[in-house]
Amino acid sequence: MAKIEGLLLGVLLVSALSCSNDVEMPNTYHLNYLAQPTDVEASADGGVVRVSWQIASAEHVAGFVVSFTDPVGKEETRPVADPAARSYENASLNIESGSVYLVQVWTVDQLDFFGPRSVADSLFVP
Amino acid sequence: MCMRWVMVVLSGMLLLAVCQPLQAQEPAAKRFTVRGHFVSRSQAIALSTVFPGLGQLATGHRYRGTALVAAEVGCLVVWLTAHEDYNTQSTQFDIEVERYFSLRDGGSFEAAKESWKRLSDKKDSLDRSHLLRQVFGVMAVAVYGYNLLDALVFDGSEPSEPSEPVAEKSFSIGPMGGRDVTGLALVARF
Repeated sequence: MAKIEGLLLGVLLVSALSCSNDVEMPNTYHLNYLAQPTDVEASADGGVVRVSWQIASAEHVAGFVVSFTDPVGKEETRPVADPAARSYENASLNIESGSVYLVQVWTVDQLDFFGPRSVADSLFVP
Repeated sequence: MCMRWVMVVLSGMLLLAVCQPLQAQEPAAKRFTVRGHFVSRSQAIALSTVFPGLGQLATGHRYRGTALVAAEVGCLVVWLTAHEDYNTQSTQFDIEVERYFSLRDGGSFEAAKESWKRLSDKKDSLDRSHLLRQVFGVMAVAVYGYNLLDALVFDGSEPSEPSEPVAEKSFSIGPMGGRDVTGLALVARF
């Protein structure tokens, strides 16, 4: 009888302790993968919009995305396929005179993963 | 529709009419009998092995037996609930991990950051559930162990002292014997 009870107690103890917490956090891929563009400056002159930026590291960068957000909040994006590009010019952008746009730039890799957005710069269209 | 209801009512009445005489033929005393005397020490130990507190209740240790049964049931309920909760959250965590990695292809840093935050929250919940189920699992084992210790070493399997209310007067458990069924009966008298 004592053996059976010992066995039962052992089984209970083992089953209670054997519930291991084997769930681990996955490896992060999004941190420090693509650099965030800095020093974003936008200007508009004679219907031509010019945006420039800097980036600390071009590792994994396949290109850039430049976004223009109008006062209503509607966002328009333009891709820049060159990873070495540090500026963007567009004369055919549909922007209204007298409006203020927010301009942001972010990187993109080969798998179309977007990096962190830059700090927005205001663009006043005369 | 009406005819169907009539048939249902008639069938019910017929069933009642058939069943009642069958029950009446078998007196209550024959169908359900509880032993009036205490169980032996080995029987009490066997009952305590089956579930904590049963042996103590059978030998008349009413308060100790009730406390052990309640403690074991409580610990098992919390343990099982935490275990199920852990499994559910673990599944949700796996789904979120898949979502996080799917963002690698065509997602964005901001979406991945949000997904990572959700993963961290779920991991915290998982850890809490795991801790809860481990604590209450060990407590359930501890109650079971104490119950065995009480039945084997202490006087848990001996008939209770006169100072403690005896089982016959208020609370008793014992083998149930009948013509067709056998089992255990727990009887409370008020």
